Amino acid sequence: MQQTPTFNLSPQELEIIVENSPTLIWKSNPDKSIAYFSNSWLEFRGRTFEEEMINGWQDGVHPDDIEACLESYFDHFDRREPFDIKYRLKRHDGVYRWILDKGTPHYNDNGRFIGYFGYCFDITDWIHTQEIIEQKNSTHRLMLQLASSFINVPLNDLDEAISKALADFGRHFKVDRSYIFDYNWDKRTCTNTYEWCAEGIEPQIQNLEDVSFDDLSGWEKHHRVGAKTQIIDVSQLSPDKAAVKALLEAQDIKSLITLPLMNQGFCIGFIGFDSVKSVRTFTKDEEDLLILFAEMLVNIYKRKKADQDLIQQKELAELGRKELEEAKSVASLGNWHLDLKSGIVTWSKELFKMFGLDPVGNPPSFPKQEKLFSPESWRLLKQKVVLAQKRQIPYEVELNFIRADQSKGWMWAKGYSEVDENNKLIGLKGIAQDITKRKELEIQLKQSKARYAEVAKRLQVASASAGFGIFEWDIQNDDAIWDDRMFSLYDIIEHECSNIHDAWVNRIHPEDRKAVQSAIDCALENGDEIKVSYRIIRSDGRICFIKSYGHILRNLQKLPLRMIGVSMDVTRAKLHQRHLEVKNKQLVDFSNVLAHNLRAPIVNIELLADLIDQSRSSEEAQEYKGQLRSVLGHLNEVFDELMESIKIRQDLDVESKEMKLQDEVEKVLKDFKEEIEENGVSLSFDLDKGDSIKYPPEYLSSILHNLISNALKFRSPNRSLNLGIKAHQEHQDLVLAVTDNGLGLDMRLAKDNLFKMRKVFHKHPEARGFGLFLTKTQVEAMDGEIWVESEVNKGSTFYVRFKNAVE
Amino acid sequence: MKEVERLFLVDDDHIFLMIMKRMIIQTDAVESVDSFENGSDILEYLKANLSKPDALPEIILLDLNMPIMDGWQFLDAYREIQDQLARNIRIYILSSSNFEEDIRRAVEYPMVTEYLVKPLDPEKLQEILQRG
Repeated sequence: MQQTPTFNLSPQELEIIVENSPTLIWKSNPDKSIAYFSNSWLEFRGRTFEEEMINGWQDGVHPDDIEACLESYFDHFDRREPFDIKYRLKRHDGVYRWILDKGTPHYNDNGRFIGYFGYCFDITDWIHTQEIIEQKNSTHRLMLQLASSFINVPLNDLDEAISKALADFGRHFKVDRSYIFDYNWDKRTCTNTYEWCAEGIEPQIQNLEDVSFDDLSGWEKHHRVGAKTQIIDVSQLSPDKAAVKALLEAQDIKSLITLPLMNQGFCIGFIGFDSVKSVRTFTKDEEDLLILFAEMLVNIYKRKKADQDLIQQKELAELGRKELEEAKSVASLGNWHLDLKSGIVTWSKELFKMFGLDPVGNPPSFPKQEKLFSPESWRLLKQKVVLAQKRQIPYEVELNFIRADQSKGWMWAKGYSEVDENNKLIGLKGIAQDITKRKELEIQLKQSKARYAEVAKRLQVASASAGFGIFEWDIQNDDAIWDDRMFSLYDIIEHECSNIHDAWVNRIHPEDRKAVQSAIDCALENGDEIKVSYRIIRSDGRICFIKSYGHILRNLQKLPLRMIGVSMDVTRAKLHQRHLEVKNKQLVDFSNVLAHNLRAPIVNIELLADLIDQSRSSEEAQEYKGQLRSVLGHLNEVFDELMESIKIRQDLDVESKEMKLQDEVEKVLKDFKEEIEENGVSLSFDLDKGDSIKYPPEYLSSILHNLISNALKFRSPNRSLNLGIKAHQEHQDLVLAVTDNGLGLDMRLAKDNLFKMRKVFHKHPEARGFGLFLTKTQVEAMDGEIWVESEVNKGSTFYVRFKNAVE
Repeated sequence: MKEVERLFLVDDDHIFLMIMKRMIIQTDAVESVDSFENGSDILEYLKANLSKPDALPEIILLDLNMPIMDGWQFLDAYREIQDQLARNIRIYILSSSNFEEDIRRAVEYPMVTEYLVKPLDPEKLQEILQRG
């Protein structure tokens, strides 16, 4: 750049122009240090001249650019050549901007070098635009290249083309791995079919065969409806995605995106792109491209599939033709003729073939045909032929014939007499057909029918002795046949129901219907046997446990035709089992009580005895003896309670009596009369006067006593007690509810312990932890249930179900 | 300075508490012994003193069968606050139950150092106190 005296501007005018120009301007000393920065430079940098002068400006150059920047600057400077340098310079707000710095050497009037002038332009936006254009160009090139290669590629090279496309795409998007998975919706798996990896990245394809949907954390559900899945940062996955997180981390994946391969609304697989080295996001444009790529892949897949189908169809067509030929030759009819005058027999070639004889020779005469049939069939044939001759009766028979190789077959033959114009018999003629295959199937069918009849018969015999019902269900026509026991088992009256199957379904407990139906569906689908247990509700509301076994009969096409089987009532066994479970649990509880409650006082006695031995004064010994007494009292108490509970458990044959619940409640309340009056307890009842209960009187009285006494004992000191006693009937059971507004229980703490022995939940001095234990024992001894609903400081409701206590 | 600064007993059996305290004092290895009647009481105490190492014990002898909140329930609740405690506490179960089921269940809690069956003999007690 030369001086610009041509413009004839004053130095002041020049200064105004320079200082107001948006261009950043600098001037250097001959020693390369900077002597001047324009205001625009200092404003851009947000620094003072003192900070920027000499070499201070170098602080603002991006660390990655500074070396190249200075090298280029010094190099040009030494050679006194003008330069263009691109580098990033930090703006006052801390953002680096791309700068194009144009420097020119400057000389004074005497031609002496006095330094460089520089002009800088912010070219950041321009650079970005360039990058985007470059990216777009590259994308277009890529897509064009893919499209043309996919269109032209021969079928055999498709695999290679797909692999190359994955590689091109992977490189273009700067990911570390790109791949394709095929879905198998029946097996609920997917398999990695193609994979490309960037250099240094571990391939995974061999580890990813038949990956279960369980490990995909629901990707398949997204893909199925055409949606992508994306994980921006695998390490941030929530704990419920542990399976997929483990799968991805095993492959070092940081980010990934997958897109479904959709063929006419059906998802056949997906493509995916992994980032292993760093976390990677995708812009909308990039995603659009990926979708386009997926569509192209689907087209390729379709082409491949169509080509394969075509080949298969050709093969099928070939196979069909062969089968038809075979069928024709098997089914083809043969003709025969017998001239009665000459005795000459003629056969068509199909007959020779049927007997396995050479069609070139002559057929054997009629008498010589004896060896062609089984003795029985030969007798039959002779008989028919004689009748046809004598009385001109046409015949149709099935014959057991013997081929030349001595193998046997079945033949259908028809014969009739031949007369001349004078109605005189001149011969016999007819047709014959090989029916060996059909006959064999018929025999098989007959045998299996006989076998089933046998099974059914045996079942009937067994059922009569074992007390179960037999059913047969015609699946195709939805028609069922039941024996009498089935009807009584399910409490269905035969002439009142129009469809047995529907009536049966209606009897099944609603909670079990789904399970039964799916067991049936599953058996019909691919089994030959079904075993299912379920509950039924009889018309009187009684619940019974039923076990059904069924056997499915199928035709040759494996279509289920009928199901035969048995149903039996297993209620008694079931109840017995449940009873045993309860007993067993009680036994465990009991051992627990022994370990904790009985051992504790014994330990104390042992320790106190030691202390008495060691005591140094008689006063001290006396004190321990006092304590020993209180422990013994406690031990006695625990022991008595244990005995009482054991008594109930042994009292299996305790006698029930019919009582009025109202009367019994009133009797118990009398015991608490004073306490009720003193504390102003308000009572409310909802007991139907007619409600009578059948129960052991001692138990009922004890249960009521305990529940009412608890309500009184644990009343709130802050309010007067409202005590409610209600009862209602549920089927055969009576459900009692005792409600109070007392201290209540923290159900989280009480949980299963509430009804255990010596478990107390109040700091109440009278809380002993025996009443509820005893109550529960008395309720369960009669197959009932006890449970509680409670809230701290609101109150409690204790429920008791008296099993089968209502007549 | 004695071997153990603070030891807590958690048990609802007053006589047993009295005897244990006596035994512990006789060892002369513990600075102070405090007792709590159930899991809920000691839990409240620990919660109120989470960050005060001086107020926290080095050893807790815990009974299982107690009213309001039993030993199991305490262990479950303790698990929730354990990380916030300013002191490492050794918990010993001290129960009258020699039921195998109880022992197996107790040692499954990582914070339980050992399961001890009542009565605790003085040598064993000595060993526990020296262990710190």
